[in-house]
Order: sequence, then structure tokens, then C-alpha cells
Amino acid sequence: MIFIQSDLNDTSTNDVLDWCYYLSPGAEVKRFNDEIPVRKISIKIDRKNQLDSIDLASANDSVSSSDLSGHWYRRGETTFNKSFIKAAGKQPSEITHSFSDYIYSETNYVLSYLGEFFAHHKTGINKANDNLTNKISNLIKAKQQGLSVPATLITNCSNEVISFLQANKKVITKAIADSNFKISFTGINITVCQLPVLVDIDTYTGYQQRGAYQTSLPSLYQEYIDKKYELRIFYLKGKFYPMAIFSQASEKTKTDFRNYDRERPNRCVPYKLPDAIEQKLDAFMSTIDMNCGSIDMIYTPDGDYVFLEVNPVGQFQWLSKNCNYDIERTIAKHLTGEA
Amino acid sequence: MNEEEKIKSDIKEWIAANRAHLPLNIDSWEFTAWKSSEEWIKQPTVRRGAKYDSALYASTPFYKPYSKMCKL
Repeated sequence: MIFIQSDLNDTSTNDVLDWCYYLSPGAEVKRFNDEIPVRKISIKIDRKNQLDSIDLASANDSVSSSDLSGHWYRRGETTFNKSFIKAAGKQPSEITHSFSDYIYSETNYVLSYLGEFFAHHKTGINKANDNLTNKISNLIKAKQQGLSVPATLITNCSNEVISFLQANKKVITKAIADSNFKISFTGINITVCQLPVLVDIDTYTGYQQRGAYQTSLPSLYQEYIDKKYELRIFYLKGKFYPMAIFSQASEKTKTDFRNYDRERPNRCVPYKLPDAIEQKLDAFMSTIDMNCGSIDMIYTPDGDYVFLEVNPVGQFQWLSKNCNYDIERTIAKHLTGEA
Repeated sequence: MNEEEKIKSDIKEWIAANRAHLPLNIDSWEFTAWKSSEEWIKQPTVRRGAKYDSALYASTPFYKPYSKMCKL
């Protein structure tokens, strides 16, 4: 049985499943979508033998590790039923908060193990815990593996930003982890977005003139790296599927290709990474214990490869289709044990 | 001022009042307002019960530009 955790509207999961059924007709596949409240759970750790097991059941389906032949964590999350906490909301807030804080920490502990278990089970691809990968720590780990990374500052002091701006020709600021969130009003929604933007020194010297400005929360500042082109690299268990994105021809996509130019889309082509860069990236992915992910890099006009970040649950179909990589088939091969 | 602009203005006022507690780069954040009108909600953009226990969302068709191996 193949166990896939995904989103209801993730079409890449459908395409991978097409290949699973083609490669292994009659394959039993269990797909859990979105946020899955667990109804039943049993984790058994055997005293001596390698017979540790997990049995998991949601409202609609159940999964047992003893029947598991392949696992892919694509998206979504597993949770416990939270209605109990909502019901407890009628009680004084001291009781509700104390109970919910403690219960959440205990359940999250169990759920983090679920991710670990499935990921290391035979043909596991990604794990829910990969979502928690730390982008700050990843920059340091990439550098330790010999990859170039941009100079980065995370601070809540404007004088530090000014010093950083003086040390680097151009600086961008962007989200530390997630780039957007939504605020919903009745009938109107507001999307709040933190895409990379060039930092204007006047803003910060203005703060400085009003006294050394310091806020409670930090922001991220990064040296702006000139690009010849950008690289989006899908990594799967030691194999690389790189794509070059010619984002510099359009003013709109120059700083970040995600400011999509819909009228004149960026040219995207298959690419071959140098062996030395592949080896360093492979070592980096091992260090962060992630067997699948989408890596963002920059190729500079001076010929340097600069690592930016890795996303465990990124879109890969645009890369697969632009470059004819057939990644969906490769994932299916891993899940059906044909890889 | 329409409703979207009013909400954006309220958010900006809130930011100004709470600036010391917000990230230093708050001025570079973008706010986009969009109306979830009844017509938009009624559109059959989502088809539930699609194959493999999934849902289909209407989207822009995939555009595939000419591509070839690039040796630089």
C-alpha cells in the first residue's frame, strides 16, 4: 500500500498517481488530503525486534505501517481533533489556555514522530517535519558545505541595517520564512505579501535621525546578487533536475522571478549543473536530512553559483513540463519500488 | 474612498500606531485587496469529486515556451 499525504487541489499528486497506476496496475494507494484529524492512533515499539508499527485512522480511511510499501509527504498536515479545546473555551481562560498549551505540546511531539517514521520507512519521499526546515540555519549549513551564500543580516536595529547597506552595494529585504498571509473581512480579502524589494537607505537614515530606531521584531536583509540567470533545481534522492530561468530580460522579474511577467513569460530551459556544485548540494541535503526539495540558486555574471534556499513542498510541475523531465514518473517509480 | 481602500487605510493606521512592535521592514510590505463577490463565489471554479479523491480548480492553461538543452 502506498500512503500519500497531500492537498485536495494538488494536481501534481494526480499526475504522480496516474503513473503509479500505470507502472503498478492494481496498486493500493491511500491519499489523505489537507488537515487530517486523527481518529485512532497506535504507535507500538517492540522490546527487542524490528517490529515497531503505526496504525492511523481518519474519519474516512486508515493506514497501517505493516502494509506500507511507499510513502510520499506532498503537503497538508496531521492533527488531533481540536473541538475539545473549542468546547473548553466556555471555561475560564486560565483553564483553557493552560490545558490547550500542554495538550498541543504533547500532541505535536507525537505528530513530529509520525513524520519521522513514514519518511524513513522504505521508499519515503519527504516528511511533514521538512516544513519546519530553518532557512537561516540552511544558509549556514550550505556555506559549511562549500556553497556560496549571500551576506545576510537579521536584525531589529536600524543602525545595523545602515552599516550593512554601507558594506554592500545593493541590499534587499524579504520575508524570513513565509512570504504572505491573508486577512479576511466580510466580502473583502487582503493579501499581505513580503516579496524581495531593494532597500532604500533614506528610510533607515530617516529612522536614525529620529533616534536609534529599534523595533520588537527582526527583519531579514540580504546582499543583492547580480544574476545572469536564476536556477530552480528539483532534487530527489541524489538526482538533480535543474532549470535555468532567464529572469533578467524583464524589469518585472529582475529582482524576483515570482513577480511573474504574464505577457512575456521568462524563458526556462533545462540545465546541467557542474559536478562540484551537485556534490556540495547533495552533501547539504544530507546534512539537513531532506531527501526531496526545490532548491533556488543564482548564477552570477562572474560565474559563481549562489545558494538561496530550499523549499520542501514547492511546485515542480512547471519545471518538469518546461524541461521535459517527467518528474512525476520518477516519483511514481520510487513509490512503486521500480526506481 | 471605496471599501477596499478604507480597509487598507485602516491597516496602515494600525501599523503606524504599532510600528515599534512590528518588523523593521514593515514599510516594504505589500497589501492587495480583492473582493470575494457573490458572482465570483457562485462560479463553478471548483469541481469536487475529481479523480483520486481530489478537487479541480479552474486555472490559466499551462504555457510552454520553446526549450532546449542549454550549454553555456
